[in-house]
Amino acid sequence: MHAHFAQPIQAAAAAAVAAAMAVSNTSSTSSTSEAHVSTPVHHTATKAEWMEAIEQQRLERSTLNRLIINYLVTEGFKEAAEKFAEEAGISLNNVDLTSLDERLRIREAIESGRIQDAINLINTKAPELLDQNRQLAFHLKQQHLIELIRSNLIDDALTYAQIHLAEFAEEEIKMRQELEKTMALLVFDKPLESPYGYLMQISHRQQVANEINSALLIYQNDESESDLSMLVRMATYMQDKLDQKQLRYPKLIDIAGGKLEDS
Amino acid sequence: MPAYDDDLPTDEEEALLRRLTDNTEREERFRALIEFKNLILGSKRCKSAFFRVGTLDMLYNLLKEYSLPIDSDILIQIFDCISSFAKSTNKNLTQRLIELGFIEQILLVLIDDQQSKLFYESALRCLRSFFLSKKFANPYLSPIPFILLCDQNKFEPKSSSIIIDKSPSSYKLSPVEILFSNSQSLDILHRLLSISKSTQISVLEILCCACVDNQRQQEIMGKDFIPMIMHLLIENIFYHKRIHLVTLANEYLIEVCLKFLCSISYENPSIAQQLYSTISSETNQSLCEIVASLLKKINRSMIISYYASKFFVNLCKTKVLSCDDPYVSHQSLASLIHLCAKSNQNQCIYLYIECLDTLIYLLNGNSSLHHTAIYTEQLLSQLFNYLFTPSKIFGENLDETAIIQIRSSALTLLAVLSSHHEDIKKRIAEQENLITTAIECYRSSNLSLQIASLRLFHGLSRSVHQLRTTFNDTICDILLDAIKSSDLALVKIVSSVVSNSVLEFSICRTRLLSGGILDILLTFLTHSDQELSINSIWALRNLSYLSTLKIKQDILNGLTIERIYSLLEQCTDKQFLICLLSLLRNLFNEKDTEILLPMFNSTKLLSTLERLLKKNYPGEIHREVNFLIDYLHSNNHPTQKRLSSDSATSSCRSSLFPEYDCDEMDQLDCS
Repeated sequence: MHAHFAQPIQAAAAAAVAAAMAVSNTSSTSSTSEAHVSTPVHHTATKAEWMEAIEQQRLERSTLNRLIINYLVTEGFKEAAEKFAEEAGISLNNVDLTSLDERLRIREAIESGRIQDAINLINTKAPELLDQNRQLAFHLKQQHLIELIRSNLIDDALTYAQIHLAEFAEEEIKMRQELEKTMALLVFDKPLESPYGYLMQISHRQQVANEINSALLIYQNDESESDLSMLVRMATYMQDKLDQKQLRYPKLIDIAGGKLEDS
Repeated sequence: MPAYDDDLPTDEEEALLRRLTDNTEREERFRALIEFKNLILGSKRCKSAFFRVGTLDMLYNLLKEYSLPIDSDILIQIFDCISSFAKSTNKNLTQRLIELGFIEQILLVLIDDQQSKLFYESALRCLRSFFLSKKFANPYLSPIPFILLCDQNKFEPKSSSIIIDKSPSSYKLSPVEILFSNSQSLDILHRLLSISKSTQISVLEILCCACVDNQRQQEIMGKDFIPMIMHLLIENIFYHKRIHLVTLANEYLIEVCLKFLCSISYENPSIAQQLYSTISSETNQSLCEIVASLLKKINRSMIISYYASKFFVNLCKTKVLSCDDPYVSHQSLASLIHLCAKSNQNQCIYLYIECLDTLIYLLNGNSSLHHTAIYTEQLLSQLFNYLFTPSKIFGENLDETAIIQIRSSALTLLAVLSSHHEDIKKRIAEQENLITTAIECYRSSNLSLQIASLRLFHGLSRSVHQLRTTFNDTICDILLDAIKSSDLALVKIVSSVVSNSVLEFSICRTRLLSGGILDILLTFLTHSDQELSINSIWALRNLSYLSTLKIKQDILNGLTIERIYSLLEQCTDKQFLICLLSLLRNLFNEKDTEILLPMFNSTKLLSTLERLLKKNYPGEIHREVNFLIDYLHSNNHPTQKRLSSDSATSSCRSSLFPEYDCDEMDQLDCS
């Protein structure tokens, strides 16, 4: 498990740091006329030089393991987190596993279409969330409407939309548009094949589940995104910056596999 | 009004209510409460519908019933329900909540110190909902709104108080007043600070809202919350020495701590001084050092940067820190400008508005910071963007109210920046489209934009060059229109502009006079608003300076000799008196003395002035009086006797920016 995960993570983390150094080196040479003696200027970098820079970062195994645990906990993979922690010899004392459990149950409820159960669990865990975040409340209720349409409970769907969703349509044009698309599903014999069929896909449930998960993490004052996700985004951002400066460097082309482009 | 406002509960919802009221079996009630909670949370329609059938009264009865003894599981559900209702924007609903006495009852149950963490968290969240703004102003900043602190409204009269009609007479009670009416409230809140992060956040948010005036601030300060706040800050700030990085364990909690420090120090010099002198027993750092560490660039949270800056602004405005203190001039000012200049469609416009308003607050009266503020073009160009094209920065779907607010704040900040230094005035006035836009803002129907535009004109009117160039006929017509407004705030500002615009070299003067400004100013002399009456006499004084005989005669005819004598004898307002004496001095310009002085009985005038000397007036008044007496005694050599006007005029200035000591305007009045 370590061999599978460590290298790409190390590459992503190290690439982000190396890229940051490269960007700062180029900006410092462009903004001042004096050369910085201690940080050599790299207008081009060979793959070997790049790998050397990565190797110099010296990311410890414990750091990498913490990154993985953080990802698993943030995304709600409790069992995987426990197993990994056991294998890596990491303590999960600082991790609120009860909270993780609750988020997992909410995710499972949404992904299996049991939206009212999810609402009940959310209101137990975070009673202010749906009042504070209208968009979230709307997406949950919209999903419940979709589930009613999926089950072909048309009358129930119409009543539900009138009673529980109309108020959102009044408030904001985007919500009204989304509600109209959802209601349009009722017109089609095969809603899954309609232009708005994407609403009926399982991926839409996952999208709602992700949105809820992020909101719950923020609600309990945790980071809504795992450090690993942020690192990947940072590496992508830095590479874009280097591309804009038209610098040659071995680009990380496959983050999952840790594959670098040959320079 | 939303369409659901007239809705009643559906049949199913009615049935649920009956389960709550008719069924007294605890488990059944508990289940019904959970279903009820799931209906109302996130639903404005449900809340409105249930309110219409008296559900709040039912909830209150349940609250009382399960408070003795405390059934914490049921009470937690009730608290969550009430909390949801308290977030409603329906004023009748929130009024009813207060009328019924929910706040008092919640405080009562919080006295019990044997309950669970969840119980206290739920109760405090509920209590907090009564205090916090109903407008969640920042849908973009984060999914969980951080309620921004608007100091500008803090010390206004309690217009948000709710009138409760309880026999025999009606009286006003606000959540804050109810909180302080219970002598144990602050002790309860202090005790609950140590329970969990959630209770800490709730307690601090409540205390922020409770800092409504100096008295309440002092009461809170007396309960020793500061050591706990410092501990919370220190506990949650980590210093990574190796990579010089400050990371934050709990940003939201730190934001609330900072907001509390801002609230409690606002306009309160004694508390501001105490905070400045506070040292942490854990780290030996001062509170200022701790807060300053949060202003490091690496910090990601705009809210933290904002409130840390605002804390130092409050210390500066209470004179605890001078404006050239590095905390203010280097850190706070730079942070605020950097925050204003950042434009990001995902960030909250209301935070930008608060930043601008805080900059206005800081820079108003601290002209030495103006050049620092505009050192790079960053701030000015962003202000122009906010004013001219806010939707390009924040997106097209922006709320109209937000657009007006940010434009008005940007224009006001430009007004503040243009009110002192000539080079800055010139830079701002010469910005393409600015004057045209300011004119458009005045002509809009929105009062805050109108006031902001007049403030800009006022700032620019403090310049000889601007009075000679910028103040064209269009602006004159605006001044003539605004001076007749029914809005007192607007009239006061425009009277300040007029008082500068009637000076002899102003291109506005003739048009203002032909528009009847003299008669209007004369009517304002006896206005009940002191600032307006002083602005009027000031304007008359400026009008009389180097004026023609005709205008002087018109002033005298309007004012009347009898009234002048009456004012000299009876006026107790020192600022008014100085202006009146200066006006007389201007009237008796050497070439007009022979014609004007006989209108006064010079013996009577002399004896009136001599009686003034015997009164215990400040030196400036005595100087003006002595000048006039000398002048009357030695009529043949007036220029030898004329005193310098500078020392008299500098103390006389009454304007929108009373703290200004405007060198430019003093020079305008030289003889």
